[in-house]
Amino acid sequence: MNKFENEIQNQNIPETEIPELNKANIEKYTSIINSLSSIFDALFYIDTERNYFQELVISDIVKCLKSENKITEVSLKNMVDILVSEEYRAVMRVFVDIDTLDKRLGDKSIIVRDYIAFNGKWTKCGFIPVERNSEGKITKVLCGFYAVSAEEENLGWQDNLIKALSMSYENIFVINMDMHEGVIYRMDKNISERYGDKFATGNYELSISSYVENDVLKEDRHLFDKIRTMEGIQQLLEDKQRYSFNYRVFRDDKVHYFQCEIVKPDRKCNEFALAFKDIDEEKKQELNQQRKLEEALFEVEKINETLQDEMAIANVLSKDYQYVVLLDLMNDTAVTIKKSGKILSENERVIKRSYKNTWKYYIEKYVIDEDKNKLSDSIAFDVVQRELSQNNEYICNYRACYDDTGIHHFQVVFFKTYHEKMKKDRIILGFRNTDSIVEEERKHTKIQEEQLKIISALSREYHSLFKIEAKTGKISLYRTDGAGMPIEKMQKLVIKNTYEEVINAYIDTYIVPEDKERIRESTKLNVLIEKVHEDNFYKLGYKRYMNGIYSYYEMSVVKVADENGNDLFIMGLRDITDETQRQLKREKDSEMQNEIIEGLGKEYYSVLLVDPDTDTVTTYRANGEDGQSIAEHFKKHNYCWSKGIRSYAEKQVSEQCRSEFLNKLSLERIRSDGKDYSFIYEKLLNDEITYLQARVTFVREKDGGFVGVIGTRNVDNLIKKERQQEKALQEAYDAAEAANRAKTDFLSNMSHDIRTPMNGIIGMTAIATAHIDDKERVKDCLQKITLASKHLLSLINEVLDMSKIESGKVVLVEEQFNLSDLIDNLIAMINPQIKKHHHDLSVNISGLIHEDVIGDSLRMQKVFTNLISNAVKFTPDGGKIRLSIVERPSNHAKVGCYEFIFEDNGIGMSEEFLEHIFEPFTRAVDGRVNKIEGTGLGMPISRNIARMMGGDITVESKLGVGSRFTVTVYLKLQDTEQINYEKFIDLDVLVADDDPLSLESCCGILNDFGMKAKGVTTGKEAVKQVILHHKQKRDYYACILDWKMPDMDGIQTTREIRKAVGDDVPIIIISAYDWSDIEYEARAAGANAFISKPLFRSRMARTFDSLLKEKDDGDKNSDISCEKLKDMNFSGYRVLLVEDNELNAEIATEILQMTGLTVEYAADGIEAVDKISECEDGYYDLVFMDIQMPKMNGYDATRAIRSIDRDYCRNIPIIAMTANAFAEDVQAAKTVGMNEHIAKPLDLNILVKTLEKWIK
Amino acid sequence: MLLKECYDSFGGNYELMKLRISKDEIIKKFVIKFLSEPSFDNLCKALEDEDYVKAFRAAHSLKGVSANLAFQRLENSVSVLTELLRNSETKIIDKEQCKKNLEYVRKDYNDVIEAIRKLNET
Repeated sequence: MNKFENEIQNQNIPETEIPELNKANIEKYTSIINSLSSIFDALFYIDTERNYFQELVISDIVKCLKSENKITEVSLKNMVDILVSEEYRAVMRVFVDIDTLDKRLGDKSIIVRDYIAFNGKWTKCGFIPVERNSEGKITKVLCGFYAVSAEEENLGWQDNLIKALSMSYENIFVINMDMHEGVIYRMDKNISERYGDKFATGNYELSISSYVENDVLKEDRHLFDKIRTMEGIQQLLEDKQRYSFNYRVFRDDKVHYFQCEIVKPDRKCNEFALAFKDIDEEKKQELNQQRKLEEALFEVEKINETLQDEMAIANVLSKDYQYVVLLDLMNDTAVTIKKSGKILSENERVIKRSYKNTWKYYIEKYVIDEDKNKLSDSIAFDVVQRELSQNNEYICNYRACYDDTGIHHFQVVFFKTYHEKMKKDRIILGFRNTDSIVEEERKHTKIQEEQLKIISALSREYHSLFKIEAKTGKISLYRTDGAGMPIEKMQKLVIKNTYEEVINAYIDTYIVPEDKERIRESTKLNVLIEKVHEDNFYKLGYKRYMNGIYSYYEMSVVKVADENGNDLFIMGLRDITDETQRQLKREKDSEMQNEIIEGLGKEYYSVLLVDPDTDTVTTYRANGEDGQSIAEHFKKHNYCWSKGIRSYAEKQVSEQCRSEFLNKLSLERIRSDGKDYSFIYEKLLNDEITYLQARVTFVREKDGGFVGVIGTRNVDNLIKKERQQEKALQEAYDAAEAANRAKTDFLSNMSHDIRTPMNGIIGMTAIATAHIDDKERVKDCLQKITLASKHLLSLINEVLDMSKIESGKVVLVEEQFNLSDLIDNLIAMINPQIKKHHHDLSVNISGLIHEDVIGDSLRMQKVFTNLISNAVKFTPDGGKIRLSIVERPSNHAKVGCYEFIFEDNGIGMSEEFLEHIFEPFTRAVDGRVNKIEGTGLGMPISRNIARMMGGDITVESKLGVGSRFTVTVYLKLQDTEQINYEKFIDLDVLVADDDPLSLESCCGILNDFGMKAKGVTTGKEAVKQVILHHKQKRDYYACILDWKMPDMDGIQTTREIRKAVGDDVPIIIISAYDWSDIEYEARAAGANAFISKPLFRSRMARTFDSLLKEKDDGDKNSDISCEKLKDMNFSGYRVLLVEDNELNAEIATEILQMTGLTVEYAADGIEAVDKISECEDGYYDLVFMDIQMPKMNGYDATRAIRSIDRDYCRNIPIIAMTANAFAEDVQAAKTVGMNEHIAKPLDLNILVKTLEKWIK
Repeated sequence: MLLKECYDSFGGNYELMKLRISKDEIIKKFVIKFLSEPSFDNLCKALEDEDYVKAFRAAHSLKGVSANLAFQRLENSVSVLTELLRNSETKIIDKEQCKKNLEYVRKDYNDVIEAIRKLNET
């Protein structure tokens, strides 16, 4: 049974006049009340219409109170007064106000309010409407109270907050921001009296405004601006949860301090609490405290001042001031607190009056005259004050004399203090004897002066000076002129770092590597301390490197003491490059000096040093007899130069040289220190003259003076050689003269020889003309003319030849020819003569091995013709002439040595004649022979030719017996190349020669070769033909043109042909004459080759052969393009390619295969050796071997292959492939047995040539 | 890209190569094969390992191939490096110079590779 039922049962329900509330009706409400009564401790039934109040459930408390007669009237308001605690009373009264209940309830079914009950417990009071009337007004309502248990005390935020606030705030309102409504939680008496209702139900904004207007002090009203509006509060409490401020309220003519706080615990929450309270009391306390604090501080300050005072005094007293006075400037009194070194007690302290007078008296009496005025001025009051306004002390020094002990130094010190309490200045004076101090200072000053002197002396020379404290290692820059390192840099360096750091930085940055360590060791602080003393200069030299320049530097360190007696090092750096350089130069010079003397000494057997200043001579060197004798000589004269040299000149120098000798070696001359000089003089000894040379040179001494160095040597040989040369020159000159003369003679002779046939011709011509109708006569004349002109021609030719040979203009032709052919021709030519004279000619060419040679066949022919005709000429008819050819072994594989021996049993030559036989223009004058025709040039020319061919002509002859001429010549052997006549077949060749016979013979030869020769007789024709064939695109293969043709000669024809068809057709000029005459012109015209008549087959063949070769070869380099390569068919041959690089091998293979070769591949030396050793003989025809390979290189592989005991392996061609013929050893290749090397990358032409060479 | 263009782009001598092998297809075949030529990589590695004998051989190899293919610019720069590395058994190799030269070689080599790749794509 619940409480209510209990009550009912117990008939505790008081009498009621409400009819409804009889038992029957109660049942109606029972359910409601039942449920409620379980909640509420006390429950009341209120009829709002009738204003009826009925207790339904009475809480124990109420009962209690009732019984105590505390509740007199049962009404809600009464209840509140009794049950609710003071703070909440106002709120609750409003809450329980029936009249407003309606409004507050609105549509809600219950409204609850918390409060703290009189017993301190949180209690809830709620109203539940039971019945409404037709208008909706509540007619019956239930009101209940219940105490909240501890658990329930865990109220919402509001409650917690309020709780928190309520502890300190008397007035708390909760305002709903959305509804702008405020609910009073607590209100203190005053506020509730004034605003109770308003705050509770009114609009917040209105409420707060009225409060502010009415209560808040005008000046503080602005403080509320932020919270006057909802938006304002919203804004305010955006970031903050609480906002508080203090303000003053003006009420009852008094100002009260209030504090307002606004709290919103949660941003999301739409309610906030506004609380404010009276903080008057607090404020009062605060102010109180502050005042107390200030008072305390004040006390403390006062104490401090006093302390300072005492301290100052103590300070003064503590020093050895004999006399201390306290000045009171305000009162102008002075109190002596220490006298004669003794501190006076209070009683003993003497007060004196008048600062000024006291001083005056003192100065008069004691201070020495000199210092009187100065001191007077110094101690003037205003001066003292001024000084003391800037500093704490002010010192004046003076001298005074108290007694007979003399003048002493004194010092008066002024100290300033301010006495707070007394609020005035106080000055303390101290007097003391400073004799010792002064003395000290003087000493100090002296030292400092000294030091300054040193420093300024140093600073002049030194670029930078540093001060280093010995104890601390602190370094400062004394001065720097910025030489080398810029000032700022140096300052920075020094300021930031210790001495160690600075010196190391300097060493590391600027000192050259070789000096670094030495300097580092020598400049360590401890080393300086040890080694640098007051009286020495500690110097270190080093080489400095800065900004690309080397310079010599000197570091000097000096020790001084600073004012406090601490050791200081002054370090200076200075540039001594110039000095050093000078020093070095001097050293070098003296070195050179010695070397010079040494140098001289070697050549010269005597070297003397002469000091021109002292006229003394020293023997530096005396070699051999001669040298010694000179030394001896001067010794005899006590080493006096002038004397000695004079006597020497008298005794030893030949007369004619004497004066020059003395002149050149006089003291004056030596003194004059000019350039070196030398001269030759004759030494006369027993009528024998020896040539000596004296050389004088000057050498600088270390001290700046110089010395003359005189060397003497024997130049006899030299002189003699010179003389010989002169002689030779003279002889040569003479010889030239002679030759010239001979030539002139010759010419004069010559002209006779020329004139003779010339005359003959003219004569004959004349005769012919005279007998023009006499056919026979004319014929005869013409014949004679022909002979004569031919003779003349040959004469002229020979002369020209000779001059040409002499002037070196003759160039031997190099053409291929056959010796036997040559001889054949020779014989053919001489046969008629032989027949005529019935000579017996035998020819022996059995000794001829190599017939095919290269040389100047024409000239050789000339020589042979000469000799053989001589033989014919100088042998009486029926004589024997023998020609033999012997081939001698020659040193050179490609050159043959041939001897052509012409023997006859003719008249021979005398020995005398033999001597001159090869001299030009020598002719035998011999009666036995008819007037010998000839220029006399045949033999010399022949010999010249032989000599030009590397050989000679020698003669053996005996008068009446016979002669033997041996012509030795060296001829190049032709290559084993044979002429391939096949090439000539069907070649179209054009021949132009005006001489029909010549033309025929030429064409004949060509036809014999298989060529198709076309002959024309004029140049014009030739050109025509060439153009014709060119148009027909059947160009002639070659053109052979005779030089001498009428109208258009060979050269002109050449030009025309070239103009017409260009350079392609080779043109050969043939001529009876010497090619060299027209060579230049012919070549310029465009001719390619020259054949001289008579046209020998061999010659022709050779020329064409080489012509063909050239044509075939095409370009100068005779490159074989890829197309041609195919023609070079190497198919069927196999090569081994040894190459480690795959790609290289592939490319090489590709190229090689283009020639038809089969290519096999080995990747390194080992593989190569294996392949070769395992294959059968002849499997590979050639090996291409790379050198640089891993595992086994080319050399080793070759070596290995060559060492295999098979002929095949020993002989197989191995070609080295090198990328660099220099670096890789060519020799090494040969040594290991490689046959050749070709360069990489592979060149087609070379490759083919190599293949051709070694495979075929 | 044409073969000649390719050659020109890295300082190669196309004409010279033509003289050696006339057919473009074959030249191209070899040129492309150069991509897989390991000598350059071997060279770099050997230098890293400071195995100068190997490096020399690799450089020499590379030089040979470049010359064979008429890659003249590459050949020249490799040639310098080859000489620096020669005779490493008997003389001290200038590491700095080698490093410097390797970079030149690298540049030329990369030009070649790039061009060949482009050639290969077309």
